[in-house]
Amino acid sequence: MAKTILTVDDSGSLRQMVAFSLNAAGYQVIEAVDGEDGLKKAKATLVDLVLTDQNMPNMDGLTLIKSLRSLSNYQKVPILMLTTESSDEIKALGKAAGATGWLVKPFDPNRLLDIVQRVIG
Amino acid sequence: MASQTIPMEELQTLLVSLGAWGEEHLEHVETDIDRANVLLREAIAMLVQGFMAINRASQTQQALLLNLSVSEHLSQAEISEVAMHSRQIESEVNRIVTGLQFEDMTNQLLTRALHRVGGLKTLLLSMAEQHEKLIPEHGSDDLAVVLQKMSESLNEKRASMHKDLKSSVNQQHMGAGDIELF
Repeated sequence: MAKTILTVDDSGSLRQMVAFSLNAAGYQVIEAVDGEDGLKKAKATLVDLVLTDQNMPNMDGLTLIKSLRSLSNYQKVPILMLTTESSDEIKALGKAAGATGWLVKPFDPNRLLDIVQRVIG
Repeated sequence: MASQTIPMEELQTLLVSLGAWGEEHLEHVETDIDRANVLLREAIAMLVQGFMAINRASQTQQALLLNLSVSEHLSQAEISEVAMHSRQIESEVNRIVTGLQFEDMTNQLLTRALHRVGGLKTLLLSMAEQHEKLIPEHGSDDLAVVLQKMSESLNEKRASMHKDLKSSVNQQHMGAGDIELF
């Protein structure tokens, strides 16, 4: 059965590019438009990996990570940040919130696939 | 001896003009940035749609070619050439996927620029509003108080703008970003 990845980003084109890259490798991708939508969708379907942006309306990525980590079934699910933010300060906040890794945009499809495979196989 | 009279009316006129003129210019800047953002978003949506369609057609074509290469007993050189074109297409597709993400980053930059313009407009308008506090009968001490309040108000606005509008986009090229696993 195909593994499911939740991509959370307020940019439609970015979500499409993530879905395009991961669908091609056989992953099923669920899209969410912001942290709030991402949390709702993560609660509705237990996914294998969450890939989230940081700066989004309604709920940002760090808040989403903290909210997911407070749910018993998301304590061990890998969560990767995919964002334009790259400062050490925000990376440290991400790590403290429970992020598994940090990817700075733009992403290269092969490198994204490589990291996803390393994290969830 | 030089006159000590403060040209209060001229000062009022200057503040009102500064606010009105500045607002007019900045409204045009806001409209243009907004329009550029909408056009950019629509153009990227069209490019993404076109890219997806071309990619689907190309994948179908590649599959057909591979089948043909078997059934038509193509030479090894021809089969290698088909495979080479497949790899080249895949590499170009990856480059396009990376490039199409620029809409997300430019959108963030344009949105921040719009907030900065909004901040500048508020600042100019708040300066212009102070003209009501300038009364022709005021002396230099009263003027000093009004100017002091103006400075304080501007500094407060400046501080809150710095806090709210930190740049989140530092990229200056479209090369793929760093990856770090914790």
